[in-house]
Amino acid sequence: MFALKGNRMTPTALTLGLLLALFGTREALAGDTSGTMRVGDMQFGNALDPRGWTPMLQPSDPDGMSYLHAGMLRTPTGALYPYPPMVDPGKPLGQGDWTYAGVLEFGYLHVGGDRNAEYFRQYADWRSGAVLGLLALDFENRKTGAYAEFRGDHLSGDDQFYRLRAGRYGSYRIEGFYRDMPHTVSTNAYPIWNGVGTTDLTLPARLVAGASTPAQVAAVSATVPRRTIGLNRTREGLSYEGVLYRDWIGSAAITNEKRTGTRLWGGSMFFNYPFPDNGGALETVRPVDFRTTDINLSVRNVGKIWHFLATYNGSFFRNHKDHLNFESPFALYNVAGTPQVADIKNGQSSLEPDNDYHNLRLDLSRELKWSGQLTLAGAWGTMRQNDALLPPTTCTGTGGVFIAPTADYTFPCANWNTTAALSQRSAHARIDTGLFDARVTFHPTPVFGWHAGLRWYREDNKTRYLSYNPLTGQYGFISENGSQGSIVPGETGIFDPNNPLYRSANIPVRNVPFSYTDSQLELGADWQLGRKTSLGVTYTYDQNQPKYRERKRVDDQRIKFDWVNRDVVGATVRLSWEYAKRDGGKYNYDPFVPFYSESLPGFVTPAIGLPAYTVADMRKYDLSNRTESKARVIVTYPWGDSATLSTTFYGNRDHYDALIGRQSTSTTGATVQWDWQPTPATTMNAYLGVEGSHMGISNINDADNSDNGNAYGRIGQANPHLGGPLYPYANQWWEFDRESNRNAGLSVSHAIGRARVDLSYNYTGSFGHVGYNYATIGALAYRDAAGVAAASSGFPDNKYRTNTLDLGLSFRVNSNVGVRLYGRYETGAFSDWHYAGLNNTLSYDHRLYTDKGGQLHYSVSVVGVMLSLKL
Amino acid sequence: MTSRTSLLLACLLMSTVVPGVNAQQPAASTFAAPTSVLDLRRMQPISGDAKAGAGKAAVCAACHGAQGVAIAPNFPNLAGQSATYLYVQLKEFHDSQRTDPVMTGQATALSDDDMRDLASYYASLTPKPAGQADTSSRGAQLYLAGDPTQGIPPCQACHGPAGLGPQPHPSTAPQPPWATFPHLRGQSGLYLTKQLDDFKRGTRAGSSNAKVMHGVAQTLSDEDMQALASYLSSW
Amino acid sequence: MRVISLVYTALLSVMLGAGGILLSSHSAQAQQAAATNASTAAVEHGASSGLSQSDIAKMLPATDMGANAARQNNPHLPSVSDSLATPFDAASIPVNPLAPNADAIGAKTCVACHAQENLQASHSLHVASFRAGAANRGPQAACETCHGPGSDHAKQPTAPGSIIAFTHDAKTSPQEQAGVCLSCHAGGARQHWIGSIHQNRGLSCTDCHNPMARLSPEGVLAKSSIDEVCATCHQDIRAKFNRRSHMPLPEGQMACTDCHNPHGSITKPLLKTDTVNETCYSCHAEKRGPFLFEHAPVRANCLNCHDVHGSNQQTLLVAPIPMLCQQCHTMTLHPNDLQTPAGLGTGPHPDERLIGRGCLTCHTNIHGSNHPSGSKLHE
Repeated sequence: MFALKGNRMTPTALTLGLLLALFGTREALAGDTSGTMRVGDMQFGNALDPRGWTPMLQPSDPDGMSYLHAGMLRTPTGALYPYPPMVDPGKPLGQGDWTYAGVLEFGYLHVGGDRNAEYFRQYADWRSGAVLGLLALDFENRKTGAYAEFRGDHLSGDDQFYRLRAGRYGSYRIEGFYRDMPHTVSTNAYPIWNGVGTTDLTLPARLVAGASTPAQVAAVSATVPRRTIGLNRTREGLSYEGVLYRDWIGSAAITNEKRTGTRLWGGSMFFNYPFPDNGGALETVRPVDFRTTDINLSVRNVGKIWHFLATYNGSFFRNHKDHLNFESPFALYNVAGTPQVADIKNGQSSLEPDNDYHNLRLDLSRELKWSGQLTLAGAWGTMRQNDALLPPTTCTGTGGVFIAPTADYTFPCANWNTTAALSQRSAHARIDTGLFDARVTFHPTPVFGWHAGLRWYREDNKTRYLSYNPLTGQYGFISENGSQGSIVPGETGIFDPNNPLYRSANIPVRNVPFSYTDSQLELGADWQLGRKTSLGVTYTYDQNQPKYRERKRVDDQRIKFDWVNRDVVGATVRLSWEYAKRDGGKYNYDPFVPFYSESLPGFVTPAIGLPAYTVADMRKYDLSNRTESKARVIVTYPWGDSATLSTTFYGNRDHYDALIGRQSTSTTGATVQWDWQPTPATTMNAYLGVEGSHMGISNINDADNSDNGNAYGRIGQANPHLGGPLYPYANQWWEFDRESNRNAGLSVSHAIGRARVDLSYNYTGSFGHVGYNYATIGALAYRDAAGVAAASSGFPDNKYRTNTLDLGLSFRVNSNVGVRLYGRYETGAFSDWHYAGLNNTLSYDHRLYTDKGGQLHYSVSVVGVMLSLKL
Repeated sequence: MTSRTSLLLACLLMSTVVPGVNAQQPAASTFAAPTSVLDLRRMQPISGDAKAGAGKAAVCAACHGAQGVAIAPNFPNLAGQSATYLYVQLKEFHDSQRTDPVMTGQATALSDDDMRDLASYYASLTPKPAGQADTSSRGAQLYLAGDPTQGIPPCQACHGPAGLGPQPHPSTAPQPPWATFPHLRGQSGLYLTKQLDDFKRGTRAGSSNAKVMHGVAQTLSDEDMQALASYLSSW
Repeated sequence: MRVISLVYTALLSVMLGAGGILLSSHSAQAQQAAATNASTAAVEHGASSGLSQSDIAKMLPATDMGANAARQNNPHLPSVSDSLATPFDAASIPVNPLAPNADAIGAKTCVACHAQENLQASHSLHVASFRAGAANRGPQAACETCHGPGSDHAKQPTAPGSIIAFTHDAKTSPQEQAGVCLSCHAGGARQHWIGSIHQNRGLSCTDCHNPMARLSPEGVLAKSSIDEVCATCHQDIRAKFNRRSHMPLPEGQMACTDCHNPHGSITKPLLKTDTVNETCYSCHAEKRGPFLFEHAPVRANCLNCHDVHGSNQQTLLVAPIPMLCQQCHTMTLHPNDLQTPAGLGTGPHPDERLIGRGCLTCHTNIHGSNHPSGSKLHE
């Protein structure tokens, strides 16, 4: 080790010299950084050491924090500060004022058991092999305040980080990092296609697109190998923060992220459920191949009276794979007319377009008399994309259905499989945002203060798109790549005022440029009642004016009380309660008429009227009238001189004034935590948490459609009212989701001489139940005897449970060398009815699934031995 | 009677010799801290049987005087001293965290109860009557206000404004072990000077309190120590 | 033994520093090595009287952060443009309203008693940077730039309010505590502290930070990581991250402060950006679009469908599919049927609206579609 150190001296000194030469001469001041202003990259760690620096915290200083008193002091709220680690004074580097200190922890991990368990691997790339637990190197010049720090860890090539920071206290800081973060989506996936991860999913040789039977597909699905679906984030960043000129501090950061991998995706070839042996519902795999570059710039000036801050955020997203084509194995047939005119066997999905984002914000605050402050913020942002659009379909030949020359619902694909079929070739999509925020605060006396705030925010979607095909003069699109119109005559997706077959087709022909303006007014006052109690009241009026939504105005009024007492039998109690009431303008259940072909000239309304868009009594939960109350109590109790007991009780009750739609939500929970640190050598923590939540909705099955025993399109279909012929009360149903969550944890750390034992156990148990009531079986999707019998009153319970036991045994051989044995044993249980049966087969008629879902049970162990060296 | 006299003589002899020895080898003794350090940070005030202590104090009186006022200035006065402080000192001598040629031997034989009783006994005695201290002296200034230019904190913070022990305000924050801090008023100047010197050199470093005093004594010059000692002894 | 020698080291360095100050300030740098012998000289030099606040102020180690302007506007403080060291030049000794008559006594006096505190603090980023700033001018004010003038405390350490305290039994109000910190750490990420929820609920900077010890290698935190600090109060939120779907916070890839600025922001949940969605788009940039065809609740607020702190459903959804969708989608035909176990893979009528991804099997571009045929988010 010493030999190693000797060798290392020269390169480190050289590096430092370089750093110094580059940056060490700045003569200015700058601040603590703007890290908490930028989204992301605040935390570097991994599943083995989530803190990212645990080895640097050990061992604790047996002398604690003071010779004058025992134990540790508490935060103003009453939580104990942990005992500080033993100070590492560092070692001199060369002859100058530089010192360095470092920790290297590396070793070998072995992963045993169900190492591929999905929830074990979700965000951690556990692998058997050598790992770098931590390499931390800190260089510091005690005289000039210049420093350089390096941190790195490596669990695997997909789960690692390296970061270098350097700068001078109070002057500037530079940072560069590289990190890889894994995200496993599924380890239980069985995609049948070739080309997973690309834009083209093709069927294996044993299957023929558009001509395979469900049995053939099932046979292939049963034999394809298991695959892992997931992606990796590789991120690099470089940033600088420091003084620009006099009191002007600037920061500049650039980050670049590459996301590559796969995610589960859909693929629709029209319904299968009403049309046995027809249609296709496919779970596919999409590629992820993103690159995002973010640029953040800020400049600020902090004066005694004025504080000024200007920030620019730019984000540039590039998707290298903008579509997914997939072959569907299933044969389609038209439900009426001459059989099989069309040969639709391919599906397509667009993937996210590139986009550019710019946001410029100015923040200004000024101190006022009466301990007052005025804060103003204004921002302007824009997000834009102008990607070339895909053609409406990829089909070739003829699509649609031929019944008779007078009922020819076919369409030549050539008229639609080209971008010439579009009204515009690229998206021209743009949303602009604007923000103004003003707040004024006064504390004329120490016992009373008030504040007022005003916030205005607007989102303006400037995208305008008309689905119009200049080649045919028709409006609309090709639904589901031609499959829908090739199964059901006339459901192609086309409106044609000149063709009697299509002139009553009510289809969306324009995009809906959802936008909104939100204005908030806030008034508040707070009182200090004695030295230890304070009370605050805040009233907020929030007016949201959405565009093209069911309401033109939504008003939310909210009053909030909060009360803090720092000595309720010695405890600090924070209590808050708020009550809110939301109402608004007239509710228009169908605001989308202007975006449908019914608004176009030449549209012929059917004699029986258009079917109601939706039931008129439905209220969307983001717009409906609502009352809400929320309460929260946080108690921090200093228990003796070495323990803290803290608990939280919280709950909310929301009631929505809606006959149909979301009706209520509620959450009730509590946590208790006990922290104990009798000596620097021993700490203990125990934790319990429970939470229950409930959500209730109501919905109503329409009485039309074959699934309801009625022919589609009968008199009365235009009546949107609850209780009417289309939405009879008999078809109403109520559903609730009830969830309960339990958490428990215990961790103990104890040092005996040179040895330390760390033990922690964590339990998570989440249980979900979806149940329902219905007026009559008219509500049900399936009303045959088997369907009714299976309906019962709810779904099987969902479950997610993990037990994790971590054990660490560290031994310090001497002050520079330590050995750590590490072990983790984790078990989990999972069930989710969405995946019920998928373990047996992924194929159900014309439905083909890829993901079997998380493992029902797993147990996995990690053992490792780590060598820890103080550098 | 004879044994008491010879003991007294031995004490006198030893106590004059030991400082001399220390003075001859200051460098060596500076870092000769005891191996174990008594952590007093959780020390609670002690209780003991003063009456029983009176019965056990016969030997002590040889040096510390029959009424706890020492027979010679190189011995500390014990009358009215904090019982907890006295107990802690006996315990330190007993466990060799504080060493003294005489006291180490004397304390070795004491049981924990003995120490508590003796401490309580001496604490119950009437302190040496107050003298006339020069409140304008440098010693008074150091004791009451310290000297920021030299980084000397005022002694009264822990030893009390009247030199009769600290007078803390109640608080829920972790507190110093107030009872373990000695009263200094009327203490022998010679004794005080030696102790401050020991703290400074680290020869008396066997407790967490000694570590505090080490930091404090580091700020004191020899003249400062003399000034403090003469102020306190005359107070 | 080791501890003792560390104490000696610390005291020695303090004495070195003190010696340095009391010798002339410019030549001190060169004489640092020789300053060991200077202590006696220093004693003679400074024996006259106590330090005045302005004496201490002249020896200030600097703090930072652009508050230099304040210093330059203050006629009582000397200009520091010729500073040799880190220009932590704006920290003045704050007035302690509870001890208005107290005088500054200098850090050397403080550490005479608080040796262990000094040892720990000297290795925390905060005080270490003070020390660096003071390397040429002495460490005298390192304690009192935060705790206020110390003479009352030195005489009567337990007298209520005798120094500005930042811990549980402090008589200093949280507002005054924060005021001390903000006198240097103003603006920037803390521009919106005043009026923020944490300020309103009476939190002090030291509820989350402890500049007196290196409890976290970065961020001078009050616990050993950001998430542990936040979980001191927000235990329930931390627990949600243990659920089936969550962001990679328990795995150490993320911290609460990746999205939230605990120092205050212009949004209620202390988000770093102007809206919820902009925070989400920062990492999920592909969802930003804009898309040709938008899904109203998606564009309005990601939280309409996602519980970002953790959920028992797939992909952080607030309710299981299809129930999630059926809250709004009551439209005629296929969306409004009551689905039951009859439609599960194990039921008599396996139904694509329920199994696996449910609705999202077909409406796969649920966040918006850029496909000309994607108005129903199929494509």
